[in-house]
Amino acid sequence: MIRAQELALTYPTGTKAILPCDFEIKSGELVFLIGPSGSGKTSLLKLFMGSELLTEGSLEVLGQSMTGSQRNIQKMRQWIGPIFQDFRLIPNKSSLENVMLGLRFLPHIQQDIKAISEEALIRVGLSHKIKSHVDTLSWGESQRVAIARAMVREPKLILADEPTGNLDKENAVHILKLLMDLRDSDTTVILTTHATHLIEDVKNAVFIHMNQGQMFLERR
Amino acid sequence: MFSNGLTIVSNGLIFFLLALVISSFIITEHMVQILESEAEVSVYSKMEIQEDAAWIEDLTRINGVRDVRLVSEEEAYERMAAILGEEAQVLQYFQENPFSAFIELSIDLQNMEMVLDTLEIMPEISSIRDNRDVLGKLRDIVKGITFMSVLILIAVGMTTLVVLSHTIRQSIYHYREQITTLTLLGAPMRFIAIPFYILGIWMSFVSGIIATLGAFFVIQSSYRFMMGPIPFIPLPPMTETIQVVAMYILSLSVIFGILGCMLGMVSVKKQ
Repeated sequence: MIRAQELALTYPTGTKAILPCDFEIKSGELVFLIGPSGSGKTSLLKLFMGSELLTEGSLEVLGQSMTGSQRNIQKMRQWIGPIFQDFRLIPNKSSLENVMLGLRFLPHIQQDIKAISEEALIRVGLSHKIKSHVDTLSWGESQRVAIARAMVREPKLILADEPTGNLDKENAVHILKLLMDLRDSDTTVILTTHATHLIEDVKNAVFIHMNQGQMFLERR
Repeated sequence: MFSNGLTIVSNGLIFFLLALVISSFIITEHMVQILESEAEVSVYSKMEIQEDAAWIEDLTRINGVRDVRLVSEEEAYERMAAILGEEAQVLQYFQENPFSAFIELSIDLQNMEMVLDTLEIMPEISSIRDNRDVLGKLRDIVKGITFMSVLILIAVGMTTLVVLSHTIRQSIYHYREQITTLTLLGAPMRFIAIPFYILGIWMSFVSGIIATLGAFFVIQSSYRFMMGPIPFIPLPPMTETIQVVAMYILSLSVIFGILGCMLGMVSVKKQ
């Protein structure tokens, strides 16, 4: 699923965001990237998405080398469900239109995209906000639309950056449960979080502890 | 939105300048063509001209001579009277017809020099009158206008490309977050690029329409102005001139629109 060898990332400013490391994440695993702010969690997610290019070593995501052609990386992204810390919903569009947009570029989804988008919104508890403009939604609701947009793509890999950030405990637990349930569909879920108290009891998962670009991998 | 409006208006004004140059080119080119097709040389002889004289027969064999015609004294008088119009009464003061008969040669303008050289060595001919100077000056005017047209076309092209590519870059910058989101959702580049191309081409085309409308009114009033006091100027049909100008301006606006978008996209990609 994901294989890194001597992977490192140094920004043009000279900041070493990720120090050389080796690791492997298997299909269907639930992975938590934990660590303080600036420890390199978001940078690592960006490397997985291909929105940041590694400066050393090698990285393979879903069988695609992240130093390969942009066209191939773009094709590989069809199998990723990204969830952004700031949601990145398209303004002036409804929740449903935003979720449908997540399906628009996927050749492997042939079903009625409107119906499955509505179903995804119902699944994240937004049946009453299907036609609402995203500009009118609360933080928690916007986060759930972003999760629905990622889930509906039937991805092999979900990359979620702080999906519980800025949410109250009840909403955070609900969203974590939604993401953890995706393991049943053999989807690999990688998420960054500060909320370590919410994942203390999580079993059968991988925890990547990050600090100042260094990482330590733990399987529980 | 406001800056897009300004871009449309400024490009419209630039295209309008180009429309004026193109219409001037069409009109002068037409004038020269008409005058060239009527290129004539008048040949005078010391002797009385007989239509069946052998030397007149020889004139028809000169390379570049299309037609040879004898203009009698009476016809020369009538022609001058027609040219003078109301002023023709001045001719009545002559006791005798002051005009002599001459030979009128229709020639190919390209062979004018050769024809004149041949005529000059013919002993029967005393003088030759041609409109070489007028045609030469007109040709120079056309050359000048063509040169100006090319310069203005280059200037219009460069200005439009710069203005449009800058507008496209601004738009891309404005929507950069949404573009990143769509890219990470797997959207192909063409899906992201097409709206910007549509915007650029649409803006350029609207500028072209504004310029064409402006040119329409200017051409119309110029024709009205020229055909009143100077009716003998051989102008091309006005509808045809407007159609050609519109076709050029609208096509160029679309071409420059596409090129401007491409330039904007390339500069964004490089960054």
